[in-house]
Amino acid sequence: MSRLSQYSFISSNLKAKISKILSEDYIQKLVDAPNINAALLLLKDTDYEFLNPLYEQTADINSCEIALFEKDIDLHKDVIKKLSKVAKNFCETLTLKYEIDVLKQAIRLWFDRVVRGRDISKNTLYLYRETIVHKLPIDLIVNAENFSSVINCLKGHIYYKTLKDLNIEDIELNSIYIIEFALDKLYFTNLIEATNTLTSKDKKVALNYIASVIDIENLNRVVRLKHYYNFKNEKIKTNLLPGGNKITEKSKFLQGENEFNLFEFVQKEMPEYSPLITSTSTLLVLETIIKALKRRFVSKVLCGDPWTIGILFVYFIDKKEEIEKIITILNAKNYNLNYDRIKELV
Amino acid sequence: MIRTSKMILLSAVVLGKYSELITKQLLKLGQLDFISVKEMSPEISDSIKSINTEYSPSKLSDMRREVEGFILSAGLKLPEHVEIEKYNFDIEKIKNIETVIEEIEVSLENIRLKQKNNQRDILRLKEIQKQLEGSKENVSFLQIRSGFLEGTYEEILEQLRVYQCVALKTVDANQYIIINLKRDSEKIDEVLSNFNWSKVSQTNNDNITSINVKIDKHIDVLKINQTELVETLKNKIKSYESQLDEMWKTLNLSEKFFSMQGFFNKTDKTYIFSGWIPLRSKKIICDTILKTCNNDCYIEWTTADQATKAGIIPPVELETPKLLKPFEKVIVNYQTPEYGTLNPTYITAITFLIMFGMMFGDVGHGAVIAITGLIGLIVTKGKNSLMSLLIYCGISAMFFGVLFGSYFGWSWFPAVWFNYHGAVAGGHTSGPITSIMQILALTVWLGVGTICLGMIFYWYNCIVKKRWFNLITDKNGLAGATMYIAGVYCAYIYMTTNSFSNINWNIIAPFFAVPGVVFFVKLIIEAMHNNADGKFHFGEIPLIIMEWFIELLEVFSGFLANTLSFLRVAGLGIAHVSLMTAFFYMADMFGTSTVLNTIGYSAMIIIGNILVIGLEGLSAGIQTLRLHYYEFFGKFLIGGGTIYNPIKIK
Repeated sequence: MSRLSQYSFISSNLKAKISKILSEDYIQKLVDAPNINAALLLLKDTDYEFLNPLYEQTADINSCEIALFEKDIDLHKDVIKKLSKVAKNFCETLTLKYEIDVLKQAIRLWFDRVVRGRDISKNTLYLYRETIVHKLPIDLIVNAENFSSVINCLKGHIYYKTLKDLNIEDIELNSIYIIEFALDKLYFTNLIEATNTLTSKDKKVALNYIASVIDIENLNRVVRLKHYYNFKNEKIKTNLLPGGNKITEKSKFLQGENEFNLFEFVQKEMPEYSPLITSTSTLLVLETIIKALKRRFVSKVLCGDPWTIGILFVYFIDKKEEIEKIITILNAKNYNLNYDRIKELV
Repeated sequence: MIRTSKMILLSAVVLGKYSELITKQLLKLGQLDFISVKEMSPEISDSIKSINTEYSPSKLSDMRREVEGFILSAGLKLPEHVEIEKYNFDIEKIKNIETVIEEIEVSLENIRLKQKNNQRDILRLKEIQKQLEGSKENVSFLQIRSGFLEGTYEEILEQLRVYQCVALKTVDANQYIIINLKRDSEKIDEVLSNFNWSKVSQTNNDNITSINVKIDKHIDVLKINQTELVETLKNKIKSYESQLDEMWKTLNLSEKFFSMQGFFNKTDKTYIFSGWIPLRSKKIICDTILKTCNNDCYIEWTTADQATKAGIIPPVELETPKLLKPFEKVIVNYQTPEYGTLNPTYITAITFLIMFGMMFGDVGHGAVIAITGLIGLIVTKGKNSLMSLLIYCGISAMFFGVLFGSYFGWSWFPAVWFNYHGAVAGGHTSGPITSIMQILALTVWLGVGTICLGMIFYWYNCIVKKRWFNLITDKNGLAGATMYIAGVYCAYIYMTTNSFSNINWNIIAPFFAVPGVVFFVKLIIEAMHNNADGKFHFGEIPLIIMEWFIELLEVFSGFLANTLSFLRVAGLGIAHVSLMTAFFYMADMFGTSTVLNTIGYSAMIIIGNILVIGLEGLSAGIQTLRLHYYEFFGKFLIGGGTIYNPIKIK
């Protein structure tokens, strides 16, 4: 099957959908809306019109959030349906991200209940229980007595081996960070492996995409581990996901006992992004850089060969960003955050 | 009409006591596009103050949208008629509105809380149901028990609501089935003991089905509750209907009123404001202000030329009759013309329709497009200008259809101009054009005409803006035009005689050489202008020669491409005919010998027509737009204008 016949339909289909993504002006209108009802009314003539009747009926922002999560997954499934066999397998692996997110959430609830002794009754109501790629025993995980039981519930699942090898004591005493890290690592390993089924052109684009995402994940980790836990470089290196391009354990700024500073890092390693730094807050700068990195990938793909898997990534990135913005705005409106704060978040 | 509307700048000083009346009158007239007095006259900015109100226009806008939210979510309609004279813009009124909005919010909050709890109850029940399904597979986290409780059902439910727990009523009023997750057992026991729990029997998995049915019923009740709550919420809002109506009108007017007053500046006793109006409205505005202030005011007028010299750029109003508004949108979508230049709306209406009609000339297809536009216009209540454009395009296609003698692809009547189908597909031809080559030539001439028209408009714009240098030296100016006309002449001679030898080069060569020299001189003058010392540096000669060479290449290739681009008019027209012909061939394959064949024949003709109308209509529309944006507007439309945007009630 030629690349042209493989991607001609899906490429134009997705480009048409991309053109319908809410513009910055529209997002600004949502930010300007005086309350959540006004914001939802604005969404009436968009892809998100289902939110208005849902909120009207339930007045429950969490239900809207879960509906948006479902919409995001459906978008993936919808695209997968239109793909050829070759790209299908890779894109299904891409969808594992959502499954892993749900799994992490379930494990987090188990941890909160068993280790931290918290009441999780309200949170379990909004756990996504539908099958994304595999049927997960969500309730068994949440209600498990200890971590061994959590692992046992996952017997036969692709996550079993990864979690079985973890140090149980560490988890039950400290945090679930190592579980989340192991799951992320598994996801990216699977994703890289899945690129082998793609054509050489698609494989190149896909590996480029994965490396960009890993870079973003790693940058996020480096900043947060430094910012919140003051980790030493050696420890940070063990917490990096393999497969990145710019941010790897071999990166200069992680050698020796160099003090990591995001502002300096951007100036030295990504000078093209330094004009974007307008805030003094590390986390805001991090968000800005992450957005810019994603934008760069998107524009690179859009300027390049139109008959590759790249268009799928662009669509997923843009759509996810749009959904995230809507969730942020609706939540902010629901909790009456002030205008400047919402602007900052969006 | 030919140019953008003439504007005039009004500056007025009125006594403070008239400020409200003046604002109302100006708002009613809706003609003034305000500018900041402080920016216009910075020298007086220290001696005048801005007017600060407790409610800024943006705050009022927020409040208005909040009220709008209530009105729309209750399924009510926004009020339409607003009479400004009746309104009294006092802050107390707006404060009162703010209080009412809060009051409505509070009353709705209660209902929303009930909705939220109701939704959580539904989710809780569904989760328990899921766990019950697990019970069948012997993986249960549920504890199911039956017993008596003292207290009202609501009280019990309220305390149990925080956990994953269901309390189902049985036939006996005080007997309940309690289903909860084992992980919450201890906490549930505590709650139950508050209601003197006494256990009566052990419920086992045998009656899970009946429990499930009970939960289903419970969910149904909650869903009914949910619908009722939505209705309650709507009714609650509706109970404020007349108030909301009044509030919206007040806020809408206040927003505009205070936006306008935001442009007013004051001294101790006077108010100063300034703004642009179309020259034609000068008298009415002047009379209104004088009448409102009992002649007790000072008005100063500044012409657009004087203002431009002072660095204040007038806004642009394209004075277009309502009927031609869709074409104005086509232009503004490209760029807002510069103030004082040509208003291309009228000529665009003509060229747009000619090009579309030539590409899509068919009476039947045009009628379908026009009817679609008409229906769209009715459905959108006249708000979608694209629908009006569809009607125009449809009528144009019908007109050209008559000229080409094409009726749904058939030639029911003889062509008035020439038979397009005959010229393309062979067979019966009539009129002056009988072959594809002639159609192509016709569209090239159409291109030459359009490009020349564009250049004439450019000269006109240069003359009215006194840009003499551009008029002479630009690609679209006299130099470029001379070269273009000479090029067209050469091409014409070559095409008609198949040889360049029939061209009298002694006459034609200067038509190429002189503009070439003009372009070169232009580059030298521009280089001098760009140099800080204003002198020409000989070291720049190689660069200028290079630029000159590229410019000449660009002029030649650009004009050639622009002209040939019009071949698409023929291309689309030919495709239109060819597609119809192909469908006719396919239909003929069915024949009409039997009923079934006739059905097949008719279906093929109908499908063919639908496809041609859909595909060709869209293509013709896009190509017409493209020809205007790239080949026509690009020749003369100097953009950069700011659209005239007066503050008005609607």
